[in-house]
Amino acid sequence: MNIFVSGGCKNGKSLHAQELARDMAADRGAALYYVATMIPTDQEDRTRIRRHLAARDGWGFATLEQGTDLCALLERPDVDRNGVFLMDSVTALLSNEMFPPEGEYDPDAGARVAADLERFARGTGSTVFVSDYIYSDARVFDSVTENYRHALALCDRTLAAVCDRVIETGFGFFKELK
Amino acid sequence: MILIFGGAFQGKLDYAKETYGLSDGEIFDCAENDGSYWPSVDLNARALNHFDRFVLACVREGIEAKEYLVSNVDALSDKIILADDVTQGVVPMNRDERAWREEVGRCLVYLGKHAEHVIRVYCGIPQVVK
Repeated sequence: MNIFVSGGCKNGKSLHAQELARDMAADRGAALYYVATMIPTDQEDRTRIRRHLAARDGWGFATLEQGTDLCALLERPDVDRNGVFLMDSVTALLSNEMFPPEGEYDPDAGARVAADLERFARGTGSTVFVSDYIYSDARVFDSVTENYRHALALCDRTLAAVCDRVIETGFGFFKELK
Repeated sequence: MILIFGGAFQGKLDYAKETYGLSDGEIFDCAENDGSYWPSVDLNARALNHFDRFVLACVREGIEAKEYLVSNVDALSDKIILADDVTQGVVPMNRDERAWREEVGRCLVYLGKHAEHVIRVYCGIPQVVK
């Protein structure tokens, strides 16, 4: 089962998604993978990654580092496609593809990443995707930021359509929208 | 009146077009004259899109958007109104944006009260609130 989880920041998305993935893997005795999307560029990032690793310690996740080109994981011989994947986050993946650390701004990354996410969902059948709800600010953004928000919404809507379950997290509540 | 709200790019307009058979010619887009003209809405249109931007134009011109709604509530009674919910993000540093955020909240409360149906769209999924 593919599951899409989104909501505002710091309100329990990642922990809930971790539990969903762990339980799904435990039910089937399947391999459990964490798709790490952050490409560290400084000490702050490395500290954050260490903290995330500690938070997952003991949960049984094997970490797969894939900051771009998500579907490359489907081709790796050491990755079991029938396992359960926690993909956290769609936001970081899109950011890496649209604003590559070593490259040029790619305004068209949204459609490509949305297609990759759909292919990954169909290819694994058991992925929990985590995204961020960044659509309710009272601000007229610059065109680059607005394009990023538009592209992330395309990724989110593509996943919401393809996933079996869609969950919105609030502050301690989990709303099942699908 | 039908009120459709949700975050930006969530599929509100697609939902309105599919559900109510709206065509482009029946929609007045409040974002198109954002900041450039005196805030107005076309009360002959069947639907008002980006209603939040009408509120922003009002804020910039020193007009109370909610008062406009109260004065025109009869003319708005058969409209489909679509609005970005801009009330849930960070409190902006800019004074106009802060006022905009709050005025959109007040306007949506008022519209929600007068609408027969209220729908929230999230990631393309409609939720009937009223």
